Amino acid sequence: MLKARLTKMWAYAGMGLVLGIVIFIFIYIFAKGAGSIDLEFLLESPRGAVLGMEGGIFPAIMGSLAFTLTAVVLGGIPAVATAVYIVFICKRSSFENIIRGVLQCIAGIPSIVLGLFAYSFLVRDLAIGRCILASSAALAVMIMPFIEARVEKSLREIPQQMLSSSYALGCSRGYTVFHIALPYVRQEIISALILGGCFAMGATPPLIFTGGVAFSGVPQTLLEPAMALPLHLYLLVAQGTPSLGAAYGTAFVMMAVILISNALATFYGRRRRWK
Amino acid sequence: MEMILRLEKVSAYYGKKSALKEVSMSVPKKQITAIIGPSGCGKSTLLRCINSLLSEEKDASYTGDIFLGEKNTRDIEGDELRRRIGMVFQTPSPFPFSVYKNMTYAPKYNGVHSKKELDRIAVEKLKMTGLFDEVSAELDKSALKLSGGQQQRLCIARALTVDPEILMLDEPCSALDIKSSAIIEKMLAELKKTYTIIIVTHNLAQAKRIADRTVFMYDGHVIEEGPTDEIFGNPKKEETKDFLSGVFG
Repeated sequence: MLKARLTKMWAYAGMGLVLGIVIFIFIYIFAKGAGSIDLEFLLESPRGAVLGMEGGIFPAIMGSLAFTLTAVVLGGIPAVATAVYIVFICKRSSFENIIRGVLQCIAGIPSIVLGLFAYSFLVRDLAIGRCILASSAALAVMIMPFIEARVEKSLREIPQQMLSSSYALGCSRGYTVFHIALPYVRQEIISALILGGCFAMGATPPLIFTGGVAFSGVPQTLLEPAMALPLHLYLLVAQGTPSLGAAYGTAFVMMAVILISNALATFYGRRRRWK
Repeated sequence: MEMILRLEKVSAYYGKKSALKEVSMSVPKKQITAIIGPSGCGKSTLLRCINSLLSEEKDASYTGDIFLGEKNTRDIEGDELRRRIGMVFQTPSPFPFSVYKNMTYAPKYNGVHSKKELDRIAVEKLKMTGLFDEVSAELDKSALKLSGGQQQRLCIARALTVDPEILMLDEPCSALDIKSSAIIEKMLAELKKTYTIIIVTHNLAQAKRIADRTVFMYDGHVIEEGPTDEIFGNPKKEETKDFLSGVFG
């Protein structure tokens, strides 16, 4: 009896603590950052003796979007393909376990190592230079296992009889995958891509050596470097007191973007499919 | 009596577990063959061997020979075999799109693209299952909005869209009410003029009503097979007698 009550109290206390911390962080950052946010902050380039003290973060917003979208495309396609392979094509459990092991290894690689790899392989050896593409490749490897796991889970939840019905009609796996399975989980895939994008948007280490810079304009192609919100935030804090206000502002914007995307993904994922 | 399907010593395995043990039986053309037996005796697995759906599953396999007409099914491509031997499952599983799209899903895969031909197939097969009059006004409506019985008839109609030679049904009525079951039984009696039908059923009365031939399975073996009247009226094996009199099952 006492044990049960203690367990219950422990669970409530844990939940309260976590919830409290999350809410505190949000309120703290929003309160500190809200002051520096105005139209100029959102739509202008950073300026000032200490860079970022004045002006805004527009190139960083656009840069972050460019990094994220490219990473989602580069990482999402192989992620969905891998999930389809594991669920529908691979017939040997042993081979499936190997693939799963590899994916777990990838998920375990520290992101700074991915950045280093992208730098030495893409930027130096293949000489594509510091650019969005190189950074996004590193980000893509980082989010690929994340997206794969979610897509695989949703593919496994498709009613088996529906798939069997398609096979029983003499339709191939390929036709079944493209006409039944993928449309059936379309919303889950999109929400997995958005969540993967949020994950990529918040990551700094893969950008440091590969394509993120302290100052640039709005990127025009994928073969030039760009600013990014988390990297800009890091630099603003590193520069000390003069740019700290702008740092909170940047954090505010970043959290807002990620929060909205997350909400969007959740909302979209929950909507009933195929009326 | 012409036999369209013949099984010789078919054994099936899920991993190391054996689900069918050297099953031999045959199925006469354009008749209804019922497979009866207690749960877990391998009835569904048997169907999955016949259309080779089993080899699409992870770690499952079967040995032995199955002849469709004169041809060993191992020499027929899996997709082609399943086109020729249709199958309907226990719970109605319409694809989650419109009635019309359910009916054109497989023909489209087989390269039929003219609207006229697709319409013809859809209407003809829906009429065969008696569903056309009920849904003709709402072909564009989601198939999920139909009642359970209608959904199951839609699945049967869908299985017919590829003109199979044999139609296999795996306990098609177990999820349906008595009235829907009766409609389906009547429909099957009509369909056997065109197709050979194999039906797995839990419902002995149903087998007795509709089947020309009955196969009794127990623990992965075929215990007895023969004309339905004989199996029910004068079973030869002890297990069959026990099962029919409700001792187990």
